[in-house]
Amino acid sequence: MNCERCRTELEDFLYGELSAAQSAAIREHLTGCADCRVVRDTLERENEIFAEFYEQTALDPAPEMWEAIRSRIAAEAPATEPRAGWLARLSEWLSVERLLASAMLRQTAFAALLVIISVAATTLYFTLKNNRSNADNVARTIPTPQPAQSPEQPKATPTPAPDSPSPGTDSVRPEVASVPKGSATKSLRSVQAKFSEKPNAPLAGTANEDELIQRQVARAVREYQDAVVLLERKIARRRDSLDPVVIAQYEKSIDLINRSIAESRRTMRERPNDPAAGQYLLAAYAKKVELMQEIALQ
Amino acid sequence: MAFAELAPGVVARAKGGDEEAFHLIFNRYGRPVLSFIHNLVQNRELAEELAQETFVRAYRNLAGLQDELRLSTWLFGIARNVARESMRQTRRDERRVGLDEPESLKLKSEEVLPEGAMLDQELNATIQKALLALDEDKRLVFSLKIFHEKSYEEISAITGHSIGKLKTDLHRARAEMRKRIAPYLGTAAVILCAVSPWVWQ
Repeated sequence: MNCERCRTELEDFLYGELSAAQSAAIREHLTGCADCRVVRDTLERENEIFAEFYEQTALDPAPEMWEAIRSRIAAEAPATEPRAGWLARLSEWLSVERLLASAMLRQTAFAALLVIISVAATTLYFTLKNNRSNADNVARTIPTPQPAQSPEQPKATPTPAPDSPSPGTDSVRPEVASVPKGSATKSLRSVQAKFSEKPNAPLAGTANEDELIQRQVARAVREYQDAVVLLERKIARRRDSLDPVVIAQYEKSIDLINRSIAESRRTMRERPNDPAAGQYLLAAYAKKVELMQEIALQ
Repeated sequence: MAFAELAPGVVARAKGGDEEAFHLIFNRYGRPVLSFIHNLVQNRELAEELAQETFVRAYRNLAGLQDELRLSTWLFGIARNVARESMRQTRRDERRVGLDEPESLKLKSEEVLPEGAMLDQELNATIQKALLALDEDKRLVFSLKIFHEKSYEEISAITGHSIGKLKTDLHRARAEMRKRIAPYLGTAAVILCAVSPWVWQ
């Protein structure tokens, strides 16, 4: 190590910001270099002067300050009470996350949520399957189905695919309005409707059904992603005018949701045929878009 | 500059609405937060008002604190935001923040101080003026690193600035401060200043 390098790194060395190896190299150089030791001593003297300055000029809060703070917080709702607007809804969404601080417990919370959604989704999924099986059984009990008396097709009400946002448009609101809100439930209804559209179509088996669900989830995810891009632009444009506390809270919340999305994606990769993972992914995206809308349109 | 850490469970109690627990947090962090804000706005009355606002906002948002070990960084982040809002407002109002002679350093009239104390007052006034001369980013990183001994990582979390920018700002801030306090650093520093310019760039 030469003198120039040593002096460049001396400040960080004194702050304790260097690695053990870098610190050792500095120490070794200082042992044999009187000039650099003078620089180090001078920096240390500066640090002492600044520390003394801080000790002599730092302000102690007057007792009245705590009294003023206490009276203000006493006038407000307790910190744990629900708050209005998106924060309240987000708190509800993330309540498990907030209560359980450790990574392991978060995993457990995620798993529990996944189980709940999985139970709901699987119940509906098997209900659909049973309905179809019953219909098939009924059809099989009719020896010679007459064309004029074919089983009545269920009144399917296909859920229209959400309109894709128009990239490149300046106005965000119309795109936001086209976001497939209602998320997991609506998407599941879409899947249900898709099945209902072709009740007599020969189902090749579970593989085709899983494939259909996966395609539906992938399409909804792409649309959410398009909406996210547009909302990000909108939020970036008005970021400076937003309350920094709100922004900080928003970023933390988005980070949590992004982690949920990443977890869901990982689960989807590990269990590609599990409909619950896809539904949870859509629910997380829906929550993300909802939160971004709140911020963008605030 | 070091304080005893809070007892385990204090933050959790405060999150649950325990006012006494929040008072403990205030007792622990009131001084550094108030002093940090004072470093930024250089006006005691305003600093006290902003510190009060900082703790009220902290109480309101305590449930959002994910990692209790980062309470200090979190509080400084709120304080920085509160101070920044105030400084922006001040700029909008076209009122200049900053005092030629900071209030905290004004000598009371007729007060006679020993020679050493006079020197301290003089040096402190010099440092205070040097701080005032720094731009906002440099003053921020200088205060957090030198007075509050935060790591680059913590300062980055508080300010949102990259560590590279923080290092550059801090190095330049120190260089500017050094020029002001060089007379108090002794002959060796002055000579070294002349012969080793890269150190003081």
